[in-house]
Amino acid sequence: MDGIVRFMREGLAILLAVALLGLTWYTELRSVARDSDVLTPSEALSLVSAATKDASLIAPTQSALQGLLKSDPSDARTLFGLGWVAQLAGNEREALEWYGRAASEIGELQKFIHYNRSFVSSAHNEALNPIEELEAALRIDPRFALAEQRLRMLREAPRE
Amino acid sequence: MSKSPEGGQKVLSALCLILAGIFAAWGLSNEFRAGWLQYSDVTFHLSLLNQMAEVHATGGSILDFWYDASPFGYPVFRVYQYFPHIVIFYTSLVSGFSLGLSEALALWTIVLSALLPSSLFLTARLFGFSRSAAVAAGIGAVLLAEAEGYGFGLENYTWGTRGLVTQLWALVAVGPASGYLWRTIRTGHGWGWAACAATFAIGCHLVAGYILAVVLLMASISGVGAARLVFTQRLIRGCASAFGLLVLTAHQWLPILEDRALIHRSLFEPEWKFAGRGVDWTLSQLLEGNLFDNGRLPIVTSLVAVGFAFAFFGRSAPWGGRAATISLLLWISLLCGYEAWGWLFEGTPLLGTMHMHRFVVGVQLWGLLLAGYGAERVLSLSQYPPVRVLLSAALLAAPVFGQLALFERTDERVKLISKQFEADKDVQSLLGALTTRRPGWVYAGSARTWAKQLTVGGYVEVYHPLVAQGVPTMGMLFHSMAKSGDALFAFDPNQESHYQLFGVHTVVAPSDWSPPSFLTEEARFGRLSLLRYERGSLAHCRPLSFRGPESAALYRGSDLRESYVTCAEQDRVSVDEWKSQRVVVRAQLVEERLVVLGLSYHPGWRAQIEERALEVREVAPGFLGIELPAGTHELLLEYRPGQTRSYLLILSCVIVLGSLLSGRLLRRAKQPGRQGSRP
Repeated sequence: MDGIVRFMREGLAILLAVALLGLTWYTELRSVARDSDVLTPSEALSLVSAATKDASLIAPTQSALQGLLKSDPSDARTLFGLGWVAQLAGNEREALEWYGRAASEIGELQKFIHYNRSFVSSAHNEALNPIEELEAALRIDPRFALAEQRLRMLREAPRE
Repeated sequence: MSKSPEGGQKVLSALCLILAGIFAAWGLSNEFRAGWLQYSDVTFHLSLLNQMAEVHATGGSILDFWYDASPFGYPVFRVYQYFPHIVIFYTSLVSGFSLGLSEALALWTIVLSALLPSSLFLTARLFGFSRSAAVAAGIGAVLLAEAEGYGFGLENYTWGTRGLVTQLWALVAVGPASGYLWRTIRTGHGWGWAACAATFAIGCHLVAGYILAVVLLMASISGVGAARLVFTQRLIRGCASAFGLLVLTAHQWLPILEDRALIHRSLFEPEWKFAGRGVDWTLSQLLEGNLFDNGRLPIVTSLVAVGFAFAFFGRSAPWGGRAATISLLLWISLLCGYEAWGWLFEGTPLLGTMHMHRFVVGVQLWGLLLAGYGAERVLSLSQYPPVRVLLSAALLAAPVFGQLALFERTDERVKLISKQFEADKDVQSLLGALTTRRPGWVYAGSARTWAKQLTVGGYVEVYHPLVAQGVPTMGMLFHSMAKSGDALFAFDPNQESHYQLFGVHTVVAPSDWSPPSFLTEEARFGRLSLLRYERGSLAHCRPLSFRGPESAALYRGSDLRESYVTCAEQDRVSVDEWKSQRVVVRAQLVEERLVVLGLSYHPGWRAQIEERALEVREVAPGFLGIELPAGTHELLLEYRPGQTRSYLLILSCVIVLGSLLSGRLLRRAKQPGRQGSRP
């Protein structure tokens, strides 16, 4: 009888130990998973905003943004976020580089916005002037061949 | 090494405690790195130490001196625990200040955290727990994590959290002190050790005083562990111990009683600090495991529950188990605060300003003893060492991982802020410009203005390094001891009259702030602008009829120029010298005037002109005022501490040493054949 009780106690001890270790492992894994959850660029920017108040968030925010950059290296918000977080971490030179890349990506988008707007019919907006749009695109990127070509074409075309 | 099983157990116990101590010390080791740049009440402690060094250098008393690094000054040690500061200061002094004050403070924090396991071990042993239960309690002491803090959790002592410097000192001593006191009531022996440990614990933090008072009450009334004694015997011993403790700690509570009319509870302090946490909060936090295992598996909480059940219902439980269970229940109810105990606390001396949220320490102290006992019971499930090791690892895993994550987080923060501080040339230049004491307060923004804009690393307000280095800075009330302190939050940097009333001379503002015309820019350090109020000084004059508002909060939002008539244009008041214990004011008055200083009133101030003593008076709300006759005068103000505290402290030391020695001699006399004895 004593043997059975002892056996059951040992079994219970092992079971308890395994259960506790398993639970601990599971909890740790869950918290790691929670930390590495994929964020959207907007969520990442909110994280950077929070990091301005709590510096312990800087490192995790930085790694979250690096993760985002891998999936989309030209996302302006991600690049801006990386610049901001580098600035918070005191790495101003690095911040400038990120901001430069973010500005260049934003510029890229903007010049296409202007270029595309030059095709939109002025019937939708009287203030819309295709030539001004193309000039704006060229101010952003003076070597924007498509805009240059279209601008030349519009200027050379006989007025109606 | 002993080969007996008991010898082996002793070695293993010592090893476990040493490892637990090393774990805690390693976790807090990065405290060295932050130096003067703190982000908690450590800023306040550093400024106190800084002023101690100044006072010591000028031959003043470091037991009672005027502290004025935060508004509007107070002789803090009269109402605040000071043993830790004395030890830290002397540690630095003995090293010839090669170990700086901030390093000495960090060193002691690390050493004491390493001593916590041994302290809990000793406590558990004094309460009759087995060695293994005591070791488990000791290990538990460095693994606690509580929500909202203020207890044993190591997070309270890490950088940028709460900076509970003095409480850590008390925690190391309060457990053994409780054990010795209870033993004294049980056996009538060990008065010397009880006196020594209790005096030290109370000298380190008042919360220890409350815990020990409850211990005395419980030991005397409940009779746990001393059932054979009749009630009156226990009561006599309890009363004798209480009386002894009152005498031994008189150096601490007597000045508090003397200053009771001046002690202030700030309007801006959260209510729960003084009223306690309330029943709902306490019970929900306890049941959710947040008082012992915040943010992780509730292992320690479960062990407390197991220990509680076995200690309360088990027949083989040590006597200390019963003592711990009833004490735990009592402290849980005390943590509920006024909601549960208002009928008793109302009007009880010193309880009005007691920080009741610190009662979590009582809950955790007894909880830890029970957790140790619970762990012993759980481990006793197995008789095989490998299974016991596995079970121990399982019990330790979650708390250890939790603490490791805390240490990593803190390490990251300290590394980052140190780097940012080193790189922050603006703040470095500002600190350099403010090394010489100016004739008035430095306003560096408060929570109500631009403090959050002027930071190092985006969150450490600039006033932290200023206060830590002893610059008299209006920025934060670290301990609102004086009634005048609340005026800080009423200060409006656009109102000239406020500069005069509060004695503000210098302003540190964001460089994009448009200053009012009465301020002149002295220097610009990048994003920081250093401005001076030319007519500003620590002292200003008022008509004799001047009466300030009863509450500092009433200053808020009003231009006081209209409400409070100033003196004639011909009156001139300036501050020639402002050192920490001494102010020299030069006054040229056309008629009798009231000179008001931007310092808190305290009867320890002595005023004199031309060798003639003048009376100092309180100018509402809590400022220092002196009535001066017409004419040109040099008014000398000095803070002169009373001698009572020094005598009482010497008396305490003599009594403690005397009782330790006499106890030893008596034991030797009773056992003449014995070569040595144990306490």
